[in-house]
Amino acid sequence: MPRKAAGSARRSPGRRRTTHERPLRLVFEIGTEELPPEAAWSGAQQIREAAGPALRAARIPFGEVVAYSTPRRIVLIVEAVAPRQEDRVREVRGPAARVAFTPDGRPTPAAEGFARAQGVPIEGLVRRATPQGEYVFATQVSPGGPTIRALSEALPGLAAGLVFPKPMRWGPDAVRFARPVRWLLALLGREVVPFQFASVVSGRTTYGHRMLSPGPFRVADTRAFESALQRHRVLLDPAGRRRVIVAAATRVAGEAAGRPILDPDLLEETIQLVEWPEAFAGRFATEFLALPREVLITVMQHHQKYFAVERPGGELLPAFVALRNGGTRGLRTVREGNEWVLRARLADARFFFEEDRKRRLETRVPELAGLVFHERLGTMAEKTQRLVSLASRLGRALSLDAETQQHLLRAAGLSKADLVTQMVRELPELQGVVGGIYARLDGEPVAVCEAIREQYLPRGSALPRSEAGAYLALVDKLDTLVTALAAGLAVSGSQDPYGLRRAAQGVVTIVLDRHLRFNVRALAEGTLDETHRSLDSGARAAAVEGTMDLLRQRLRTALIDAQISYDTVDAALDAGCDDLEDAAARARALWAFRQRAEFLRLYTAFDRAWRILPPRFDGRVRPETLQLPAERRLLSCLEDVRPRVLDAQKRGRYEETLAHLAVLAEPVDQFFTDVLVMAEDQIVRANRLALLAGVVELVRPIADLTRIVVGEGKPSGSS
Amino acid sequence: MNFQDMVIALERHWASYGCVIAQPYDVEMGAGTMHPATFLRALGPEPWKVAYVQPSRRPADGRYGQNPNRLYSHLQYQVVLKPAPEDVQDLYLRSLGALGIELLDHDLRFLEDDWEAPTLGAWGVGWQVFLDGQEISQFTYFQQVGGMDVPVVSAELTYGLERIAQFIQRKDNVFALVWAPGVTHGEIRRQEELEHSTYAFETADTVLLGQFFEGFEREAQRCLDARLVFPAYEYVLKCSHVFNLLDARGAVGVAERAALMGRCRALARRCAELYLVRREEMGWPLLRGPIHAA
Repeated sequence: MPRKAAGSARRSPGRRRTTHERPLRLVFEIGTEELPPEAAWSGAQQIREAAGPALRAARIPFGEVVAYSTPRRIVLIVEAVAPRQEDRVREVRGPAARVAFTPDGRPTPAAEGFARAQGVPIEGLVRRATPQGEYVFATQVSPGGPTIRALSEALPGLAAGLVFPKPMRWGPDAVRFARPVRWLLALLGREVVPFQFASVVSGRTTYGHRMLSPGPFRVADTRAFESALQRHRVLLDPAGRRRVIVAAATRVAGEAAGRPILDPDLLEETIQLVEWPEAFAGRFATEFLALPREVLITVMQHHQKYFAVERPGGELLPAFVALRNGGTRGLRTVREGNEWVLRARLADARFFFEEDRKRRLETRVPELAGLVFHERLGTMAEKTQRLVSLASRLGRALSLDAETQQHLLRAAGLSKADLVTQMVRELPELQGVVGGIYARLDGEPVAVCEAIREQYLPRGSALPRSEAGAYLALVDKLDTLVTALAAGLAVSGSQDPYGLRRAAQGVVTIVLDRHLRFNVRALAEGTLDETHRSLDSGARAAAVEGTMDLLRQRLRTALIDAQISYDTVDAALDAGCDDLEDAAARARALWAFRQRAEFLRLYTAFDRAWRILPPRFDGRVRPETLQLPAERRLLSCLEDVRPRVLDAQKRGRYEETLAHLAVLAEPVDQFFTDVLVMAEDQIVRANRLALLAGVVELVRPIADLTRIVVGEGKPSGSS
Repeated sequence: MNFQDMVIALERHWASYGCVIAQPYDVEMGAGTMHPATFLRALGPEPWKVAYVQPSRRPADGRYGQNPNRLYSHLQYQVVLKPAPEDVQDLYLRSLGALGIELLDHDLRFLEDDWEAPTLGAWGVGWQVFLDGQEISQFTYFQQVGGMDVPVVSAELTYGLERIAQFIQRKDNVFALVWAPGVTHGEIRRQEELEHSTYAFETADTVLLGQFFEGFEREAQRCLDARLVFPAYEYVLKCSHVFNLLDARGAVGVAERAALMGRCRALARRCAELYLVRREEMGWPLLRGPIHAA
């Protein structure tokens, strides 16, 4: 969701004024029924971005461009708009000069015909050299017309160009928009820009606040637009409404001896729900504070759109801050109404809480058999079983200590049980959180509760903080990937209806965050063997490959985002990425090593060796048949370096590994200088190739250096 | 204002605007939208203005008359204006005045809400209307009905009567609502709630209900084959209600659930298609001249 309303200034470059008339202010307001907040934000941003190109295309010089939105309007304001378009100057190439003019410089009928066709006098033709020879040119100038006429075409185009996620139809017109368009104000200075859009005729009439100033009113001059709206109780600029909301919310919460929890998403939404914000604080009965904090906050924020209020110390107060759309009249009635509604909501929540608490969380697990995970992916009971099995495999792969492993398995077994509680049925956004709370009240170990709570992370920038939570979150996503792909669900183009890319992203984020070393492919294969016994081998392989493919894509993006050049990333990943963290470590090491002087020498040596090797070469070196010093030297270097390389590699010290390998560069160079690899004698040739194969084999597990694009070496987002 | 005065006020308000005041449909249904006066009339080009009360049965929401806010059956006041008038929001706001709600003394919001009825192949966009934090209505511009884009967009206003009454009368418990002078909602409806909940959750014969579904579906198909839209549609409604009962009883398996809903939707779609064919054959009777002037 775009967070900025508008405001960045743009100057049209290098425009000369074509008249001496005073520049004018343009105001274009699309008046609508109540827009969804996202549509209001995005509509303003889109129209601001589209306005400059549209005005330039219409040859209209202009100054600063801003756009605003409220629940009932999207407004574009352009300063310093020239009253006339610029002239259109167009040069047309005519016949070749030698055809158009006689050698003594008189025009031929060809020149006359061209001048006539272009509507310019014959003297107006100019001769100019081009790469194809000298030609005759005519320059056409069509003078710019009044800007207001050009705007009559440009403005409806701007409105029609706005794109919304779920557009609607409402009238006889086929136009789609986020909500019905009810009026259009379009003024250039004091003049109406006349046009029609969505069966609405533009004019100088607008509307104030729906309740506080219900009738239409006329705007004489664009200079008075914002102040006129303000008199009619509309604060046009979302940034202004934000300031008012924050200040007022803070003030009324202060009267309740607390401060508002200004949830950023709720704040953005609230800004687009009110045209004239008025805050008030309400209270609820202290007894409801016995409910878990998350439940209270969710009921207030998500369901009632109130800001919760806390003490400076962080504990919740039995109070809330709500924003009313306008005015202090009847504020007491409004407050009492909202308190009454919240009381009913909280009473409901307490009822669900008490009902849920009559049974331990674990007794609900069998009910998951009646809850669908996805139509083609079975029930939540099946998902739970898979999670337990996957968690156990992951635990073994990571050699977790017995206690952590036990916590992880317990958390996996309980993870989905909260989905059949009344609380989560009513407040689905609290899935996981409620499970964590109930597990804590059941006396489960803290690590188990934390893992249940964190299983749906990462969400935004929030990552699992507990160890078992990270593992549970990881297997939850890995299961989604493997199971969905095994069932034939897939990602296609930009579409990701089953959230598979998001799941892959989650796996990669957690692995990199906690540096988890394990073979994902083996894990995916193992779990499919166990949970999808009836799957044929083709489908099974496709599911594993699909999983690895998505993980690899997300890992690649993550590493490129971390400022590693794409070719470095590809080189490391092509050497294998079944172990994601290992592949990432190799990419980072290669990237660091690439900044060192030895890199290019190692690259060249590898590249030469690799290029000369026939495909699938597998000869062995026979030391006794080595003839030349360069051969013997390369062999002894190889044997010298190999144990150090393998040791550093084993310890995952890849930059060190690469440094050891770089020692081979010089002997390889010498080898190519002194030795004819493709010797006549087959045995000699095979032996020399085997030497080079020894070099390639040693480098290849770290990175496929043939993927390196020399000269790239810069962090890059391209691919 | 007591409950029945609210209904009377809305009836008068929308009658004076020019709506046909229809009666509740005498077949069980889950929402006022399923009444043929909405589902069928929203199809095709014919204009239509209608208002009516419709009892809406949601077997799974029944709570034996014990929960202060949950009911097996609640009352919706439904208004459909086709085509949607330009001032439809203002018309709606004025109707709140008829309920004695002085808007300047309250906070009214139109909060984005999209509506979808998968068993009807219908969806629309619009708002939940909130008054001082309480959802009091659903406001929808139909986009598709019976799986087809509508050629003329209807505005549908659905008032949750019990909710609004609780708000106006400030009753925490729905059963405490004053229905008529001296009579509460609970005194009239509580026994019904208890018995229907008991039936839906405990007594219903799921085997027999399953047979009903099959039988109603066959009968709907026979009616459709005989080009009888309204009888066919009544059997679709019965299928849908039987499905809701089976669902409340927990008797519908995972895969079966989607399948049964799909069968309801397929029937609803055929009804919609046949309705359009029949209306066209009749020359779209309501297209001719002003049927009900404001």
